Amino acid sequence: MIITVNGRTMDAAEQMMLSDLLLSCNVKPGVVIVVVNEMVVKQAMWSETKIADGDSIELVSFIGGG
Amino acid sequence: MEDLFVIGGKTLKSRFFLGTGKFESKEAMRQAIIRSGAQVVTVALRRIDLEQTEENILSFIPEEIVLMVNTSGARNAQEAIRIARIAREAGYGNWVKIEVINDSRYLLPDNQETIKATEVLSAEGFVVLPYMHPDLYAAKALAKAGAAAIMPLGSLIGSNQGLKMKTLIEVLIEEIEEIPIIVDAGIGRPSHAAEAMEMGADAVLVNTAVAAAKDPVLMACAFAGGVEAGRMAFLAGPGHVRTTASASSPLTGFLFNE
Repeated sequence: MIITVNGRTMDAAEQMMLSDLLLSCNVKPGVVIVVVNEMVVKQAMWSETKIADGDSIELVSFIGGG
Repeated sequence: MEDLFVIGGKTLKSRFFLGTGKFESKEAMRQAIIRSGAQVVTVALRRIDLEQTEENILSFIPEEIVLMVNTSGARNAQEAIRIARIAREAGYGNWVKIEVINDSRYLLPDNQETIKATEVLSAEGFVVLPYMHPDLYAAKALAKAGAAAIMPLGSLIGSNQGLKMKTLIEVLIEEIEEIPIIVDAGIGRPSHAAEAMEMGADAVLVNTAVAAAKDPVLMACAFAGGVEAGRMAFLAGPGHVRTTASASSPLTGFLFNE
């Protein structure tokens, strides 16, 4: 299935869980905010959230800013 | 009597707000926050770089500090609203600095879109501090839209030019009584910050001038001192500017009078 991560199109395995995707993207818990189809998914739900074809996933974090 | 600054349900002692961008060292940023006594700092939200692991900036910001999420990168109201909602949903509070910019050369804020975003986010319970071009009508509209304060630019972002917008900011200070005025952007020296506070601004937000200084920690302290001195001068009531001299000593009883 095809998903979008930070604007980049990716091929993901069927039935993939969000936590697996984050692991493959080297995402550190506690640092990154995960937004799936415009909804924030809290860390506690990462392993229970199934990724679906066409999902748009944003991985964002805070940086210095004025 | 202690001079406290109440905004967004918080009572602050410091009227010096600090931006966290452009610091070479995150530890220096942390020290700048602590040593200057700043209680409100801005941070921005960005997509992570999937190829690189970065340090978590939040671990360098003391817990008691109010985080104000800057919507920088937003080109219209909708994008600013989205950033604010993500930050709040993720559990990072409800203070938001609305920054909507279309122009990459001068980074001037789009007042119209800023007003739209302020209306929506204020209605959703955010503490909204819009970065704005110092226009009286826009300021009134932002106050009406529910802004917790307005943040007019002193001069172009990161320019260190100081209070190029002085006259217009004075108009806002004179006319906008319902919400505080925080001078943001372009403040390059502690004397600029002091000047803004002497004029009657309620607070000052500085980033580049501190972060890019040779010694950012010392500069942050210098700015905090400038803000405090300017505030005290405002409360003390500065004298009028005159075009002729006014003797400080009495003009009578001279020793050589005939």
